[in-house]
Amino acid sequence: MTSSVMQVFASYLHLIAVAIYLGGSITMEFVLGPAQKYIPPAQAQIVGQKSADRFLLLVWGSLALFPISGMLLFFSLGDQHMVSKGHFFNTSYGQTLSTMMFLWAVLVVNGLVITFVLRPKLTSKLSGDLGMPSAGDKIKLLESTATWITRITRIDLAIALVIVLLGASLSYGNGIL
Amino acid sequence: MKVIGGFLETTGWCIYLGGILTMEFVWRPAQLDLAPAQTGILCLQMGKRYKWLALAGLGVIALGGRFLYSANWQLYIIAIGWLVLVGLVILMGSLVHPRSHAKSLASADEKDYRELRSKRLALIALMNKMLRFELFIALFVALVGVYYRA
Repeated sequence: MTSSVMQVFASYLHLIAVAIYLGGSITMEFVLGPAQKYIPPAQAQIVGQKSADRFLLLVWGSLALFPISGMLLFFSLGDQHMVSKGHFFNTSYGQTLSTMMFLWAVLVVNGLVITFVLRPKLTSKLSGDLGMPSAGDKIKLLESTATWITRITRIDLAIALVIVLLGASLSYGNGIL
Repeated sequence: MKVIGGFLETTGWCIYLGGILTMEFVWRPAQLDLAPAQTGILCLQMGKRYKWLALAGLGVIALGGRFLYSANWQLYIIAIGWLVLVGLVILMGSLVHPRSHAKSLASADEKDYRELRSKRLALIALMNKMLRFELFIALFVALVGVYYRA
């Protein structure tokens, strides 16, 4: 009974975490982003910056929740025997699980790049903290940073979808790989 | 087929639930820093897009659920909850939300304008209550779905 309650709790947390990450990214990318074109650029920058700051907090929360809820789920299901004694890389279950972990690490790295490299670049340009020779160069740099954020976000979306597929294959089978 | 069903159902919940949570915890606080006129424009445009995204999410949940559930009490709760969510999205997206952005006629006088404004404020308040109710139902139905599979 306790294990079953823990299993429901862990599965629910896992679902909420992936929903925030995947659904949130889809909403930011396909609802908020395009709608910003209908308001003046200065206002769009304000709302873009505020919403991105808040969304990044949710993203980091969900990225932290993935392994915690995943471990809880793994132990509550009693799946330890599936990956013990060198089975981690030799069975379909182990390979699928390790691929999920690897993809999660990619999401973390991409998150770090966006949070600590690209976002500060973008916000410093927006607040006028420059040091570039011409307005044209500033705009080019700004556009290239925004393009890279969009690219990485879309790559993350695709990776998150693959993780969901791999997760479903573990829930309803013994892995897909 | 169960793997595909599980993938579709989870993706559907992600699109739907993630969308509501993002609207609630990202968009709602972010709009406080905007000028009211810009908030109105952004809100209207987002509402138009979000309605279709939410319906798509609910559709994918139903599609995936077909491969996963057999008839029992949890399924009935999930099905009723799903129908309530679809109803709420359609009601809000097609009626309440567009009406809360209704514009006054050029011929409107001060009294008409005030009436329209109070109507819009009442609709916005109703919309906020409906959104909270939708979030609660969605979280509950998702929990029942998780319980069913455990």
